[in-house]
Amino acid sequence: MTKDRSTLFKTLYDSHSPMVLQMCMGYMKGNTQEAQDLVQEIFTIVWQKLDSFRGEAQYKTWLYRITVNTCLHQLRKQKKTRMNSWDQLSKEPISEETDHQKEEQHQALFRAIGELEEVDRILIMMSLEGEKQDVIAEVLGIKAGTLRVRMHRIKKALSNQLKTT
Amino acid sequence: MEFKDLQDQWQKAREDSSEHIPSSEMMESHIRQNNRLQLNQHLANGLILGLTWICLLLFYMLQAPLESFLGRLGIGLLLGSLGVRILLEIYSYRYYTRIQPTQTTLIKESNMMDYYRFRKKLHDLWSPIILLIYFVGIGLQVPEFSNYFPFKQIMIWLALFLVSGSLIFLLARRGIQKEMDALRSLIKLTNSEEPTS
Repeated sequence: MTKDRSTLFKTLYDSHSPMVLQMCMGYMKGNTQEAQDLVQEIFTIVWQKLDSFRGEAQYKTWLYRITVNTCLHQLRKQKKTRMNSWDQLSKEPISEETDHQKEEQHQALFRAIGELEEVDRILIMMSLEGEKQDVIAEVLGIKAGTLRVRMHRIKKALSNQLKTT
Repeated sequence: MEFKDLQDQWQKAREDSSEHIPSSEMMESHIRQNNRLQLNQHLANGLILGLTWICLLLFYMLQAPLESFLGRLGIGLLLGSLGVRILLEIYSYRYYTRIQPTQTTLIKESNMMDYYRFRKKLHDLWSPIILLIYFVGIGLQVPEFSNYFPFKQIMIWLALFLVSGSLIFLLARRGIQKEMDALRSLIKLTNSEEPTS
């Protein structure tokens, strides 16, 4: 069972950790350290809940749910137990970004997303990931119709936000 | 800027940051380690609360075995209220851990809302009652304690209990209120819509 669990975890982690990290970066306004802590927390939940996955949704949807729920819960935590540093785990240390212009562009996008409301951040990031509205609706548990108008408004807000930054 | 351009920029940022993601083996070993730490932390919290209660019990049994009826009633109320508070905290923790992070966001947040309603009721109704019983318990011991300690010292002791108890209560209540406000903004997303499974 442990071996199966490890194999499944590896498959999920290898396929989806970049998406999870990117969502966390956007949610945490580009703060790398906080995003990394959040990724660890998300994959800890994935590890703990792997046995309870009943196949009612695809693994990706399931993982999205955990990511979204953990992100939304994160900001409300008043006191956070700091996990061990990600730097100790990294294959290569996170170096200073040499391409400052590129890094600044990324940060501007993260900051603009971070100015949106919590739920709107999640919605726009899933949309930026290329997810269709019915998938986003499935993750959140709402009807796709409810999303359409809201998504249009969020995209406009993000665009305005980027113009001002 | 078109949305497609933003998606491209998003993908580039993702590629850059993904270079630094640790391997799954490292992450797995780290998670196992953290799980052990978390479990130990919960055990330690439970142990501290339980030991506090036992220490108080031992204090009254061995150091200050009050003899009057009022004194004994006071001890009963104090230990009883503290015991109930500890049990409620354990129940609250178990309630929280039963909320599944794998449910749809709306259902999860709705469950969280129920949880905070429970916490609010605990703090608005049961905590003041328990706190009151706790203080009555202390108050009932004062006559017998005054045989052994000067009046001024007992008054300082009571004031300290009152201020610290009230402060903890008010801070916890404010935290719960903030959490509920944040959850309400999310629940608004549904408007008149019912959660889908």
